Order: sequence, then C-alpha cells, then structure tokens
Amino acid sequence: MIWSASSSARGPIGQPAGEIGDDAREAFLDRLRDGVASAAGDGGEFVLDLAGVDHISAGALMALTIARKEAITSNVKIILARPSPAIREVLEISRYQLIFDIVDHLDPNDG
Amino acid sequence: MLVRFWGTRGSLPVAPRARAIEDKVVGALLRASGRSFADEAAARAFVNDELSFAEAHTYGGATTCLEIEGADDSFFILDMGSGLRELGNDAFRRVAAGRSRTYNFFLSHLHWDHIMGFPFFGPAFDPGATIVIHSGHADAEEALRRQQEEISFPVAFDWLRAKIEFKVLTPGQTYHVDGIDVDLMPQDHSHVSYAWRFRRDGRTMVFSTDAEHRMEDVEDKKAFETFFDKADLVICDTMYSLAESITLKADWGHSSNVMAVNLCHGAGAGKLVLFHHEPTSTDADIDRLYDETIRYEALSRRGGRPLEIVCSYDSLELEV
Repeated sequence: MIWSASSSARGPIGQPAGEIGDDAREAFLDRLRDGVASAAGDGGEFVLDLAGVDHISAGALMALTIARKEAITSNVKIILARPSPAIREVLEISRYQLIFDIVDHLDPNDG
Repeated sequence: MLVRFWGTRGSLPVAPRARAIEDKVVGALLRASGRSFADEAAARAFVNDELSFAEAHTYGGATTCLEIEGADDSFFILDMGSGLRELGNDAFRRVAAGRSRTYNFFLSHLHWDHIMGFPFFGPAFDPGATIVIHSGHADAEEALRRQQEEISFPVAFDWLRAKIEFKVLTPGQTYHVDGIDVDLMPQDHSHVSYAWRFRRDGRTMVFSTDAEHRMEDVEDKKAFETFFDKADLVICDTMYSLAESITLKADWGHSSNVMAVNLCHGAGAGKLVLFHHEPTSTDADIDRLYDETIRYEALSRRGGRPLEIVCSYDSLELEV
C-alpha cells in the first residue's frame, strides 16, 4: 500500500493510494493509528484522503472500523475525504456515512 | 437437496398492514397505466415480469423455519420459528400422500423467535409421528417445555402425542442422519448459536443464522471461511447494515450483508442467501438490501469466483 501524509485546515491528512487489499490491513491500520495519534494533539480530526484509492477490501473496511473505535476513545473524528464513486458506493452500502463524515473536499472552506 | 423457506424474518413475526397492501395495488395499477389483460396468465406475466419483487409480492413475516428435501425418508426441518405452523399443515398433506411421519429438527439456538412455532406444529399432536430434535444445546428440551408452561401457553408439552426425542450433537463431529452428513459449529450469539452444514452427493449447504461476526476477529473469519468452504449454498444472517452491526447494534448477535459477502468470497462459496430480515424492514427496504448486496459483491469480487446472491422470502425454494 502506498501512503503519504500532509495536513489541511481540518488537521493531519493520510493519503493512501492504489489498492488497499486484505494483505495491507495491518499496515493500513498502523497508518490510521498514527494519523489518529497525531490528530489527538491537533484539534481532533484526522482526514483520510481516499482520492487515490482504487479499491478498498473487506480487510481495509475492518481496519477503518477498528481505527474508528480507537479514535473515539482519543476524542478524534476520522473524516473520509474524496472517495471515488465506486469507493463511495462501498462505503454507503456499508452505511459508513452514518458513522463517518464523508466529504468531497480536503479543506472545509472549499466547495 | 432442495431448500424450502417457511420463515425468513428475524426476531419477531410481522405482517403487512392494510395500507401496505393498498400501496402495492395502487402502484401496480399505476404501472399498468390503463392496459388491459386478455386473461389471468397475461395479468400474472405483467406482475411477475414487469414489477419489482416488492411491488408485486412480499418477503413475508414468519420467523425462521426452513426445510430440506433430500433425506432418505424423513422431513429435515431447521428451526421452529413461526413458519413451522404452515410447514406442519403442509406436512399433513404430504403424509396423507404416503410420506414418512419422521421429523428431524436441527436447532440454531433456543431464542423465542426460533422455537415459537413448535406449539403450533400439528404433527406434534400425531401419535404416529416421531420427532427427533438435534441441537448443540443441552437445554433444548428445557426451552421447549418452558414455553409451553401454563403461564405462557394453554397446551402443556406433555400433552403432545408424537414420540419426541432430543439429541445433543457435538461441534467438530460429522453425523450421518437419514442419508445426509450433518455437522455444526458454535457462533457468537447470546447463549450461543450453531451453524449447520448439510452434505449429500457432493453438494453442500450451510445454514448460519443469528451469528455476530466481529470485524477485528481474524480467527472467527478463518473458522467460518473453513466451515463455508466451497459450499454450494450458504444462508447467512444479514439483518443489519455493517455500520449498525458495529455501533448501535453491536453485541446484539447479528451480522450484515457486507460481512456475509466477505465470508462467502473468502470461502469460495457459490451462492449466498440473505436471511433473517429485520422486522422493521419494508419489502422495499429488503429489495434495496438485495440490490446493494449484488452491487457490493461485484465491487468486492476482484477476479474471484462470482458469488450469486439470492434474497430469501417465505415460500422460496432453492435447489442445492
């Protein structure tokens, strides 16, 4: 799994790219945990920028779920940003829009 | 083997209210838009070919009860939900035509919605009938007797006339019951539930209801993928959305369409049946669940074996 990091007005950003397959579950979860930890000291929001993600596996959904649970205990909100139509569809079939904020822009002032 | 669904609803029997039927009739009339039909066959063709399932039918509201046709001689019945009453009535018709009066039951667990049909199972009053109740639970007899105590029901268990026998089966062992190989495995559910696997002539079907699959539990995933391995047909508890199953309804003992697809993909299963429908779901809600599950399967398949998705309804019959 390809991963890079940056920041925005919302807070730290994690930017995975390509496929997040089942075999990348643990690495993905580690990255999410790092992001949540950095957001805990920086206003409480961690943005996961999904713009570069082509496929999200069951294992990746699992990692998101675990990270969300842990983020709640750190008072951090994970925001899912810029998913492709197919990724958004997977998230919405899972009803993740009810437990995550899914946004179209990295910066809250855009759009 | 053939599987017949007598009850597919979870938790509580439900029935459509008058307005729900009115809405279907109005919707069908509007869709017909002034057309006339030469005869009943033409009208049925319109209903079955041009309306969605929810527009023209209902998924039904009886709680869990399935039947497997394909044993050497006996009836095979999975769970005793409210759907069992109709199965019992139909069994009398078949017995009158020469069918055996032996009934092999297999219980997922003992919660109310899975045993409430037994006091209404007509063959239990037939002195010539033999009923064998297979369960992973040692307290199955206690549960059935208790629901027919005077405080709950007017007809005591001891008034039933059939010969009734209880057998406690052990997970990990394969049992040969009337021509079908049967095994079971425990599932995460209050007071534990059991998935059942039935194999005959190289065909396999799995009945896995009332099971919570926790996303972080990798061992659970492996165990179920092994149990479902290459099954021709897997019937899964898809009561909640994934998000519901991990938040508001976590620890309620049920699972989601997404988890069911993931497990069946991992197992290389051939067909997934969506089952144990949420009692608050309308027919349109279940239609949507079905469509979304088909879409999720396509999005998540990634070159693996295509998994056919079927949505169960009361009276559905499927060949295994």
